[in-house]
Amino acid sequence: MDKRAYLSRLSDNLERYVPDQERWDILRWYEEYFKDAGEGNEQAVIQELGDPATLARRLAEERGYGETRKGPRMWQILLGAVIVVIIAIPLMAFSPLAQLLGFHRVTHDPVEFVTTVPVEQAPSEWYEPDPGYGVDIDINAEGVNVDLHAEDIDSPSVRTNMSTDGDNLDWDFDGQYLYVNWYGSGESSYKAAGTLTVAIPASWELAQVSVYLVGAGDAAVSDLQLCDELYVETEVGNVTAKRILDVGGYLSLHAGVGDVSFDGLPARAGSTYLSTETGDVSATLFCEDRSVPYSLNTDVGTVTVDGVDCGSSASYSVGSVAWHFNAWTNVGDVSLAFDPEGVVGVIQGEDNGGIYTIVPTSPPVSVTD
Amino acid sequence: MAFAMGTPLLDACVLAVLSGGDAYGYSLTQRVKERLDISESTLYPVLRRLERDGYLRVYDRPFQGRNRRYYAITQVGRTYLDVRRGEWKEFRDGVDALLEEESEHG
Repeated sequence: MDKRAYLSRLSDNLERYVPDQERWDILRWYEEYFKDAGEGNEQAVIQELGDPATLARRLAEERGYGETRKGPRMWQILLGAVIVVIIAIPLMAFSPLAQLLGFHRVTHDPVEFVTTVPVEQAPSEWYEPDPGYGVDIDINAEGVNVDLHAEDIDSPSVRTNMSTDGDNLDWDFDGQYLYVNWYGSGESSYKAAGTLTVAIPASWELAQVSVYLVGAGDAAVSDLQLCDELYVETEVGNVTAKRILDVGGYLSLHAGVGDVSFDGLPARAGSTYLSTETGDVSATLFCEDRSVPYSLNTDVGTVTVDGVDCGSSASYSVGSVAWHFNAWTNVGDVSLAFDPEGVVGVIQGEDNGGIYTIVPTSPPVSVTD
Repeated sequence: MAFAMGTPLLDACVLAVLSGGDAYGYSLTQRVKERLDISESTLYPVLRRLERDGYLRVYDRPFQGRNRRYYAITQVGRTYLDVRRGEWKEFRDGVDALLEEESEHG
């Protein structure tokens, strides 16, 4: 048994006795304990902690939770069984394998990725992925929240709700490249000092966008129509990406500690990566169909696809495409949902070449909430 | 060992370690275990209880790409620790006196 297996068994056992919040706190404690003990000492720690079921019971007792406080009653078990059967019947016809595996892994036979473009709408050249075409954006900041979004304006604007002596902020735009640097005060603060808002014209064509935050701070990006790459990373803070249309090569959202949430279209020529060490990952894909190859994983937590519990991992493969949607967390839940109402465009393209285009339905993208 | 480590005593020991400086879970556990034969699993509930009662506070610091949770003693915690130290001394003196008397007469 390794660390993952141990924590996962501990989690399963705790679930019977303690509320979720308590369970997360306990798992975090042991996750950290393992890490601080060092990788080489994994087995020694497991030895020290002893049987996960016994440990769970002991922790529950000492924390004042009765033995079967959370144990399901018989009627709950029966109700659960009825629900599983109701869900399983339509699924059985669709995917016998998934049913066989008790939904712990969602797999289907490989299918060809096919989507169609209405002939009356010619693809807009605007959306052609073409590296080197469009504006590059680079934001680096320390100890501050960053909000990057598109507005109905003609030129970019950078605003802040913090007093600054002018030394903190440095930004420039030369027509092709926008950079924004915010230097932290240098004091060790673990709370973001305020918010730095970067607004860009909604009409901008984008090439590569990078937001990199050090220290505490949330990163929010919204209404971006990308041609090539989007990269957002925080150290301690949530990452939120809303209404992202990425037809390009690479999309990566990462939080050291914090939640990651995404809605929009996944990258089509490369891959999409959503990840956090500790926190939840959630994604809503505005896909017309569900032919998105994905893999979702958590060490300690639950993976759900469209609300269906898939255990600790779920995957779906679609032939041999170069792009893939990935989401993972060490401690936390991963959820993936498909929202047909969220469709803002129709995707066309071939499997491998990265020549996907999006034909905007009306309007191309919503700029306001 | 034949003697049980009661809750108030363990609380006091943890606070005593923290009175020497903030610590994260693993280091705190190791420092207590250097002196006492306790199992790791008893410390998490102790820390939660002390936090709830306001004797210690918790904060997070980034460390190697993750957050590490630190525990620090509060002023209330220090006062509590002093009271417990006094009580322990009284208790220990009483036990010592009895055990030594016993051996003198034996």
